[in-house]
Amino acid sequence: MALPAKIPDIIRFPLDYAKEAEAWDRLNHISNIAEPILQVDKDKGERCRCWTMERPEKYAGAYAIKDKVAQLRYPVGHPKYPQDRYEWHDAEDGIKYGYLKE
Amino acid sequence: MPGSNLNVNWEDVAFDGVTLIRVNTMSWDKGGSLLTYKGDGNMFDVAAVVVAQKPKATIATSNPGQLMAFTPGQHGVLTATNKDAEGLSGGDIIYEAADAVFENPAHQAGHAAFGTVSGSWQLLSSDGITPAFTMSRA
Repeated sequence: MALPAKIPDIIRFPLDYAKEAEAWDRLNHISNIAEPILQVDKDKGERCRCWTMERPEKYAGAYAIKDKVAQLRYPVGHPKYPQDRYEWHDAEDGIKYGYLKE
Repeated sequence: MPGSNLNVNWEDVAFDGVTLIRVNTMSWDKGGSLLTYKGDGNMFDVAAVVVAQKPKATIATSNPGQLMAFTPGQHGVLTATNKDAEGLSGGDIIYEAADAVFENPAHQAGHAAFGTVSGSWQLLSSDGITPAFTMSRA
């Protein structure tokens, strides 16, 4: 996959992405794609954090992020709660790149 | 490389800056539960949806002093690595919860046996929708 001009803060995959793989293999597969895009430097101890979610439907997908803080919305107590923290841009194969709004 | 798809033993288990040792068992639980529905003349459920999740983590170690020193209600980052069984790269599973709240420790010990302690955490989501813990590979 071609690298984007600007490094995204988070990557969202369709929930059925690589669904032929078993659950943990799917996360491995996603990590393999996400790590170069997020520029994860394993030699520095960085790693790609993943999770999947089905609900709320608006957010359904498999996610990969380098940042330790996984928050799709501004946190409770933040003036912008419950707005989304990311602006999403379409990439290939239903994948979306997210960029922090802040 | 996907690793062996088998995992054995916990390493790098830590809560609120304290590395937990002598870990016997640990679990990470997404806390899903199904709300089911049936009505009218139904005998069986016709719908099942997840409307809430209560993720949690539990641990049992043979180091009672460590867990008993934590306070119920104490917040911190909780991390743990379940190692690849064959030590292969890409097979470790690393769990990480950014906001874990320690719930309770319980120390038990019998005559002529090592004492053990069990503990549990409730795992919080800062925004109410993003899952409370992430998984990584290494």
